[in-house]
Amino acid sequence: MSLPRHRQRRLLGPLSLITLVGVAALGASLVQPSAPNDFWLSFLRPGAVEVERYASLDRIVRSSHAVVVGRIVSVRPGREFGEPGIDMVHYAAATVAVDEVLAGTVIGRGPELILELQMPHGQGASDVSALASRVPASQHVLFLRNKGVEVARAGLAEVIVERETPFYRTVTSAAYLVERQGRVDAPGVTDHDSFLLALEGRDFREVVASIRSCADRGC
Amino acid sequence: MMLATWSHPVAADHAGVPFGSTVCGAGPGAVPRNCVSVGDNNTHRVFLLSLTLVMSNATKESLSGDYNPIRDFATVELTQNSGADVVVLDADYGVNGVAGWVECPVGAPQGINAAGDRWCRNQQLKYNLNVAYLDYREDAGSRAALACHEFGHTVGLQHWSGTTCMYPNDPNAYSGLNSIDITDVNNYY
Repeated sequence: MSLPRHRQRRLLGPLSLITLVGVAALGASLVQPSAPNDFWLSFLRPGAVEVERYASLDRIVRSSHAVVVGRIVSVRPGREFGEPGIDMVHYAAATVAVDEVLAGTVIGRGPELILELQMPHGQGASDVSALASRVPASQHVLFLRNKGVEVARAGLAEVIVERETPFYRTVTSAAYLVERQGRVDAPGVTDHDSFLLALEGRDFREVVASIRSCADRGC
Repeated sequence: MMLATWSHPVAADHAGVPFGSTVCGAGPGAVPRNCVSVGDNNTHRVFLLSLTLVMSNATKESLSGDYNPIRDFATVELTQNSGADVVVLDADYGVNGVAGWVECPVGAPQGINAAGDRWCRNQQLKYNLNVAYLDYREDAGSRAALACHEFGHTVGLQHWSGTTCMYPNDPNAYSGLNSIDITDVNNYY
């Protein structure tokens, strides 16, 4: 997936001689905590073969297990998967306080859900604390897939279904909107997510109303 | 600091399809992470670190059948992880909605070339073996498409909707490169 032109940062001219080196030693010091995109940009995977893809707001709303408005209230080290001793992928567990369910159903414990966010290669539990300091305080719209329902539909064993049911993921890596100064920001969208890109800059409350209406009557 | 000294001709028109790296981050000085990169030269060194047999075979076949034949481009399979441009792995990475992906790790050698694209060495190419996404690996054709697709993302190929393994998100995608892909890789490197 490619980023829209206005999000691409091509370092030309005087910067063309400057090489960006690995910044692990610098850690999070280059990141401006006040920019809400810094949090979500940690998880971008534009070179991914995602198993879901949507071309319209109607389709993503109807296909999501839940579409919610909520805030991320905490981020903690989460689960790990992979090959021990060779390569492990770590997840951050973001607790989302749900303000409103716009579509579908949230399974589980009351007004909160756990959204799993895959950490970049080489990062693990010790990096989650730095990430937690960049969590945007604003509201989000999240288009969600319940992992338990997902694996149940794939025919996996009940024990796996039960294990996965407490956890959610966004249906695609771009499937979230962030409220920023009353307007919609969509930090994960690419050129292939034009219907989400079209929401950027619009009034956040109006977009929430549109999604609610879409869930009720189609759009 | 390393300087990007290798230069190359500007990529020819890719029939309106974007080619090259995608730069992610919060602006100048941000960490470019998890974004599509290009190779640093026309020899792509690949190390198969840990792979199941079927994905190892699919990967090798894609390297030899899709990428090695490109005129001014070559792939080399390394026997150890030293100076690799791409490291390939597979495992059950969880129910993450992804069958495969490529990352340029924070700390990997990387830079900006004369065309303004980010090159990256030690790119991590991962296939997700989670059973929920078996569609993407269940037969030779789907495995070939997956391998071809992910390798495309290590050299600057991006998604587009032609007859190509770079078609996004489809387990039944065409399992090889389009002539447009081949021309553009050849022209770029």
